[in-house]
Amino acid sequence: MTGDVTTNETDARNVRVARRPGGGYRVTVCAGTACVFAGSLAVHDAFVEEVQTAGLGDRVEVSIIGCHGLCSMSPVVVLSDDTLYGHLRPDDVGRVVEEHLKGGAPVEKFLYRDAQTGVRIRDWHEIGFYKQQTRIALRDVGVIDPESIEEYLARGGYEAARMALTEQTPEWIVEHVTDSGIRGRGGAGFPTGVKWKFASQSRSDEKYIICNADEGDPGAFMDCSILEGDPHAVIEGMIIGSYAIGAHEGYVYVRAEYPLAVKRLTKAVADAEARGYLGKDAFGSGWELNLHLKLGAGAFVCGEETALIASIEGKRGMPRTRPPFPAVSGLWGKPTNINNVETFANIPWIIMHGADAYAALGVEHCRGTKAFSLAGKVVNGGLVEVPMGTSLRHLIFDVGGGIKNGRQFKAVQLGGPSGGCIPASLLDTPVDYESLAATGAIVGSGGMVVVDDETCMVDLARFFLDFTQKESCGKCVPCRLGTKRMLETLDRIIAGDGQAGDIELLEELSHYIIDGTLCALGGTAPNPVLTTLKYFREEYEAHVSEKRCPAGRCKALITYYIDAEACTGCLLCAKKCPTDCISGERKQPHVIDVSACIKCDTCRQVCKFDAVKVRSGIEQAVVTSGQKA
Amino acid sequence: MDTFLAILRAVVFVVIAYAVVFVAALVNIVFERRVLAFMQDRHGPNRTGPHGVLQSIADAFKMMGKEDFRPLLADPVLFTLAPIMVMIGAVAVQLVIPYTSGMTATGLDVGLIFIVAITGFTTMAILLGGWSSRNKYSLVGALRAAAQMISYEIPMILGLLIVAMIAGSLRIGDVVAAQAGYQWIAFYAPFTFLIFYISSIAELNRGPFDLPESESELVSGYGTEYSGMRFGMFFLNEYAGLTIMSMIAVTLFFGGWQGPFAGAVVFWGVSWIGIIWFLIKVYILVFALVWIRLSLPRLQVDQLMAFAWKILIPLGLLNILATAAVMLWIPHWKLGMAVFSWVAFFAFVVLLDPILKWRLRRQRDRLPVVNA
Amino acid sequence: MLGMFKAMRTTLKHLPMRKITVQYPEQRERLPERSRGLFRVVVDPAGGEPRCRSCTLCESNCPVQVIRVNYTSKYLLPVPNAARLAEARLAAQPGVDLKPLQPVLDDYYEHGTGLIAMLQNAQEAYGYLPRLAIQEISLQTGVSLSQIYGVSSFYNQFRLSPVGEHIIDVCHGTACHVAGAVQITEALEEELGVPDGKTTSDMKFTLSSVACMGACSQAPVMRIGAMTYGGLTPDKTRKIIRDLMHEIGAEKG
Repeated sequence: MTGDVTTNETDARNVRVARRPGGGYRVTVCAGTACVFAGSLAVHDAFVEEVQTAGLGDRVEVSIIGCHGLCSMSPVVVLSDDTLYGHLRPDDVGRVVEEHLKGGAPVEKFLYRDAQTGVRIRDWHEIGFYKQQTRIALRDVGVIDPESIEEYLARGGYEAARMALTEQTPEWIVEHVTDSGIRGRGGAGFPTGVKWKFASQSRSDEKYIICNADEGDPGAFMDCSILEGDPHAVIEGMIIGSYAIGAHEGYVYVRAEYPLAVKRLTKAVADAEARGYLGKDAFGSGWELNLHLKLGAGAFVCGEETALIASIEGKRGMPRTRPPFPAVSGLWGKPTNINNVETFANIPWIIMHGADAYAALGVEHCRGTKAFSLAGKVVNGGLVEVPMGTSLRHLIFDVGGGIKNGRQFKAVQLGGPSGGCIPASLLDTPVDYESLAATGAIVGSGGMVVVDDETCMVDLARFFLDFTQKESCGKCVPCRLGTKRMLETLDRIIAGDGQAGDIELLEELSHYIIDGTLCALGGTAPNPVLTTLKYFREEYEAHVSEKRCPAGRCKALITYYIDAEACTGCLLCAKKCPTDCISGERKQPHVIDVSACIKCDTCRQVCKFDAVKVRSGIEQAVVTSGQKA
Repeated sequence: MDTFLAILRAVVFVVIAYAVVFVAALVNIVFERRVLAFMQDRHGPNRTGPHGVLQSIADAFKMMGKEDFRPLLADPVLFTLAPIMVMIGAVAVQLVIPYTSGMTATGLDVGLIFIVAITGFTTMAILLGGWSSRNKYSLVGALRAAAQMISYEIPMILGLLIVAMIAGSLRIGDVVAAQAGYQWIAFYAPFTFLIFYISSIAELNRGPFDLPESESELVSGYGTEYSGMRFGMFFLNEYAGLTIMSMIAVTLFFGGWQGPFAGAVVFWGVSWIGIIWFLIKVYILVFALVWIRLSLPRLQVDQLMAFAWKILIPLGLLNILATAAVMLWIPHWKLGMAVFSWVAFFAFVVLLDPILKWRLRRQRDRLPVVNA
Repeated sequence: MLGMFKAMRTTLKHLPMRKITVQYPEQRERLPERSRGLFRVVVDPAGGEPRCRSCTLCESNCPVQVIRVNYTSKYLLPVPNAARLAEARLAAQPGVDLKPLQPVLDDYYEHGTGLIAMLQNAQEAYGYLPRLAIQEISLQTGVSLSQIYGVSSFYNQFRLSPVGEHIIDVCHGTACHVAGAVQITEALEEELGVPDGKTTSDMKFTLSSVACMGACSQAPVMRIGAMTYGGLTPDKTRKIIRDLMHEIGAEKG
């Protein structure tokens, strides 16, 4: 990978394996959440079995790795000769073992296929998705077995912590981190070195360090992948951080919806303790750090630092006013430092390779790299890490490979429910905190969802507002009531009851909410609405005044019909229709009864001839068949 | 011996005067609160003591328990003097009022003028209080209150003048005597009574003329820097004034202590039934004051001053002229006066509104409103 | 002036009228049926015992101090009055056993686990948070019942009513929403015959929506127990759920 500055222990190991008699292979099966969902653990077991059956047990090692990155190819299997296989099923494993591991010839069918050229690419380094990345926080993710501390150590793990604890002073660390220019990767972008300085300067007998792993943003899975793929990096970062600020107790607050992350983190902490990296006298330096795992209980607001602290204290997760800031008075009233998972994952690298190396990446005011989870309608969706300042166009089209199914790019949603939508006209915006804030969106935690012209922006705004409304803790009136009223208005608009003045109402409410809320959940909740209004106002107008949904999504404002020319009369849709509203004879064009149609989209998805279409605008109880204009 | 008795008598009357002022103040507070409440469909204080009669005492204790302080910049002598002085008016006036036959502290020859002069003390005390507070807003509030009070003293005096003309003397005793046989001045000079009564309401800073009072509730006023018992003095004086002013009105216009069976019980040269009648009449008038305060909206300060100077004073003067004319030229002057006064009374009551409205419309037509 | 007299007449008319003040506490206002503020001790229909546990929260919070709680024994932690505890347990929830809660409580006494962790463990043991478990935790830890209720109702994870054997989690994160998660949930609602968030009457399935599970490239996804399914369409979903219902013999509704 470009900019890969880690030691090549893994490569050396690959080489050693390859040198085994007959040619050896290491087969690493990606076990990140997406791949697990796609059944990668079954694939792993199939590999183990098949390798045994084929008698290759002494030549082939099978293990798991964290998220390799190209989630759209899940389940992903990477071989030590840099072959990347995707979309493997347990039944296909036998073939791979036969043809590739034994025979030495890669199986073309499961290789990555470039969408534009149609060429199959074997070596994953050649795939555009990977070529453009600079992985620092994700340096070990997708490379090592996350459940093996040995592999982490073999890659130079815990060296930074050892050096920091035994040779350096806390002040040196704080200075180093400040010089690197790293800013909080959780979304706020507060300079980490400055935060650590405040915490280290607070006088107290007890201090705490907390890792915020409550990645509540729907559509973001970077922290999830780091915790699942490289939990030791986070632990090492926390050890260094605790030494810098003077904390002896640490908490990792993980959301309960990440069971895999919890499992791997628990094991990692136990392994680290067993080796004397945690607990009393870490690394023999006399420093003590005890790490505890706290599970979240399903509240998005607990990603906010003061709400998180309240949750650890066993209370309702409601934010409180700041000042006093957590660095002065946080958990149990003691000075507390809270950082994001990704921030901690970067720290060991910075300590090892120097602040300047990190500061050399990225742009002024926004040094270093950022991990993004690219999802939505992109060809190559997955986990990427690029230097700050990369343009969105580069991210979406060069790394992401453009839009799926040949559709048109419409917008990219950045930063989850706190962020905003950026239209095609602003695709050249560099990704850094200030430039994006100028567009109205935020970098956020790094979740990036790309939408195409089939997505309705009003519906998307409503989706986010629904989320924030449900997750609103209820403490302050502007958020609790304001988001509710905005949601009601949007619901009305989508249901076709939009009235003149609704759009102005949304804007007004947004400004009141932003002005009056206690925490950033409310303060950023109107962002999706405001950005979609700014850049896609005509869609709102269409919904409100013309009562139609240009993207063809909002059920109350669209009509399904069958194109008589394209319909071959195969009766498939009529069979699948849950309300039996499609009538027609075999070989005759079918017709949808609009009055009974519930717009479940089943017919459109099953039709092999693409004859079912959606028209924006409502038509009342008239059986349409494509004859109307 | 005689001097001793005289001094004793004087002391007794002064004590009675003070007692009346304090008791009346306390009684009036509860009375007003209860009556106000009843007219507003609620109960008012009815918990302290049977039917709430001890409420004022509770309030007094509360007020006495408050911290007593003086602002650093306030004039030390005047600041303390003002609340002390404010009661003087209320107390001293009683020295000329006959509670009943034979029970007057002193039968001054210039009783009527004495009344008017002494009530000026209240005005002075208010001014002192506002000035010594060394607070701009207090001063302005006090000046406004003072302006109001002196403006309305004039129609009051004009009314009293008529009383003097009818009674033929400035002695209060003569005035009461002139009303013997139910020939109460209010009956045959209602217009005069009306003018006097309105002015007396304004003198008391009561009812629709309570601008200084409301200002101190809302913004500031002469009482801003006062708290605890100092303020209590102002407060008590105001409520005592209700009774005192009603006493004056009763004495001058309603025959004082006279009433059916007034002469029945005479003890020590004092008619005891008379006191009862006196109290009844006084409290009917106090009730009227409370009633008016509840029913009517407050006047603005310019309307207030305009009413005094542009309406009451000219009418008062005209009234004097007419009364004088009647007394001189009409043989049965009381009848004539009755006719005139009642006609004037009704004319005033009926025509005041329309005339004011007509004037306002003319003003508006002549000077169109310009939108700034 | 006539207007003034009219005003005075009106006020005078009110003098003898009936006063509308209700002289509390001698007289009481008649409250509508569903008024809140009716103050009485509720009797548990299951055991006939009053539910009040003399926590005296009501007494200390009442702004007018009209409540006095008289109790014969006060729970002094960490040794609660065993007899009353036994009574409370029997009365609270017949059919719910306290044994699964024991490890949770042991953990608390050994390690001092936090409240939320205790509730999470209890929910794992029972599948939801029965009232009995919450009560027991309250008694043992000294955290008031109202505070525990506040915490358990705040977080989405906690369920206060029983769930079915199989919990179907449909992901409604951004990528899944854009990919059509709404239709997946609708298809499931139809097939199971229950609205989102509810359990089928034979207690086999609970349908729920969750926010992002982190598998965005597989959108839309759902998870049933340990089985995960990605790349769904309404059609595929129907097939999956019908097969599953057939397999375990569940019925719609």
